Amino acid sequence: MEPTFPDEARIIEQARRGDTGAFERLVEQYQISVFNVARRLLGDDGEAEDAAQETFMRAYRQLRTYDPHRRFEPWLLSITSHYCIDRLRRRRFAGPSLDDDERWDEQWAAALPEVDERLLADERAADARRLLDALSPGHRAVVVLKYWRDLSVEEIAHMTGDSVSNVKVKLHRARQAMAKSWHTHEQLTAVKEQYHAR
Amino acid sequence: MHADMLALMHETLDGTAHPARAAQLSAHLGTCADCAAAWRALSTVHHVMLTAETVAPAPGFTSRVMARIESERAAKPARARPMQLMAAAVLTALVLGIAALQVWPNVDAGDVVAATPAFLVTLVQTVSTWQVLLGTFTRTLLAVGGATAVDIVLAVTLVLVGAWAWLMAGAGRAIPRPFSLGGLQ
Repeated sequence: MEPTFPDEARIIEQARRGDTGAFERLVEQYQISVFNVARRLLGDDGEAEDAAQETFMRAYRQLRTYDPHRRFEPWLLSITSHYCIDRLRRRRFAGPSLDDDERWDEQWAAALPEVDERLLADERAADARRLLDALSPGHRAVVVLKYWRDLSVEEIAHMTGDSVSNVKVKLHRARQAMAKSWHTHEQLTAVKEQYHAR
Repeated sequence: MHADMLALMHETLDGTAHPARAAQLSAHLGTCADCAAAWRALSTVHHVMLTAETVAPAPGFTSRVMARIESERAAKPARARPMQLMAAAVLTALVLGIAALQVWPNVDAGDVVAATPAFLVTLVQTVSTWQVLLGTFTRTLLAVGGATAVDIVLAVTLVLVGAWAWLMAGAGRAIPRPFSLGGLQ
């Protein structure tokens, strides 16, 4: 197992024994990873702060269940992604009723041309957020963990409890749905440019 | 669009495509407009995801998390300590057993001791002083107040020992802090 920072194994062991000073160092080390995964999954800074705090609270309570032979960061981010997926699914239940992940993706992709025109002027960061917003919670988590944290398909499978092949399928479908959104967005941009050129 | 080429596009973006297959895709994209459009969209999305910004949480994040942890630790009740509970139970049984031997006249204390395992006999012998005192006390109590008085005293003893055990187990109290919290702000 490759440590992410010097003395990581020793600090994790101290934290596992109840040393809050050591746990504090882990919070400092991993807060950006956790916050950004939460931010990409939830699409909102305030909610991401709550999710990141909750991740570390849960990690503190469950630290004894962490297997020191595995990398710490994927273990931590699996807590983040599970928490965020739960929140996204609760949002989903509060919104329109959808049966499965694919229907969710299709509906968002189909609705894209109706999205506010401000999106046309967005920067790349907003593009990424918009593309992620078009995905279901499960697909979104796979994309974020794969692209942003560069986790292997095997690590994501271990974190999410999916099979490796299922993670690959999710990744490909998610990428396909985002490409479809992007393509629609490009077409919309072209139409707007033609309109303004007249 | 060609399904086999679409699968190859994903393999290429995943970094798992064999170089010969990647070359096959490259050649195909030059001849198929639909696949070329799909590849442009897929690779753009891939690039957007790879280059997405990184943002730090609001200042003081670590302090907020550690304050929550500290608050939770302070509110959490301590668990009962098994060794102290066991000690309290043994003491209670001992007190009641000795008292019973002395109070009920139909029971011959010698017979009971003879039928008792050796380690218990040793235990009883080590508290013989207590036995004599308790015996004297309970016989006097029996003579003065009768069986009801003895029952009351036994009940009170039981309650007191139970209360002692509860206090020793630390129930309802916060967990003592076994380590430094000096790093907290």
